[in-house]
Amino acid sequence: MQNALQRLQRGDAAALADIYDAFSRPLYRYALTLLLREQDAEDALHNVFMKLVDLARQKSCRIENLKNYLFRALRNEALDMIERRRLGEDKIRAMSNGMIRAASERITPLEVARVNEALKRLPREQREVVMLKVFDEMTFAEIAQLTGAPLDTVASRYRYGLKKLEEMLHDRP
Amino acid sequence: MTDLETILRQVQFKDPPAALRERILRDARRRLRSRRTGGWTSAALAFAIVSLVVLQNSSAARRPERELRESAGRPVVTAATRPSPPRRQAPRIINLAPYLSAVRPGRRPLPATP
Repeated sequence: MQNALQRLQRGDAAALADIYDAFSRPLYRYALTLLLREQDAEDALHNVFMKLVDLARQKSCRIENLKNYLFRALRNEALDMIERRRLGEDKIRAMSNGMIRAASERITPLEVARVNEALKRLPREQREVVMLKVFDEMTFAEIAQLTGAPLDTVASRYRYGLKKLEEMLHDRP
Repeated sequence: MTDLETILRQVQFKDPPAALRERILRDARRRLRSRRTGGWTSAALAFAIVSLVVLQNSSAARRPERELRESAGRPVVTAATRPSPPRRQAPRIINLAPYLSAVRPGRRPLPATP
């Protein structure tokens, strides 16, 4: 992927398609986790890629790890969007229109809806860690580096997040 | 792996819509193109300005000041015709003492205006 970045730095637009195809799914997933709404997640992803294009054209561009850069840029963009729109967690949850779908036939649509609702009700910090750990298979150290939180905090957010999810999923019939 | 983690692995997040890919790539292409042409345009403009300044300076250096002023329709200023700077007037000194003493209690009244 660093090769694609170098091509993009030379002005090759096709290189961005390669970068998009490699990272758009995990980035979109991360955006949905933070913003809970498809439209906002799309805007965040769009802005991140435009910033990458702008940065790549600068001579002083130094991106050592493209994946780290993109995840961090997306996180900053999503948190900025939340800040700019002055939306509280409750309002964001109310506007959410479902983040997940079934990945296998063993899970019913009702169960999917329950998991979706439970994920939505988790505090953002816990939802973020659970998602990065379970879906992106990141280590606690990688999550700590991305979020800027101490390693212990990340581990406890994960533990509390799973506990809450379990409680929420078992509370409902 | 806990039961919950197993459940979570049976769901997956929605994928970004295909239209988003098109939108991002289209906007990126436009941005790259405009930047490229924008770069050439500004380079050409800078070159034109520098050339103009250099040309003007070199032709001005060859012509004396009188000739330049005459061609520009401005009066030729020499040591004889240059107007002298305005003279500075000495500041007027006003004696405020009688006025100041008049406002203090127990003093003489204000003198009559001359």
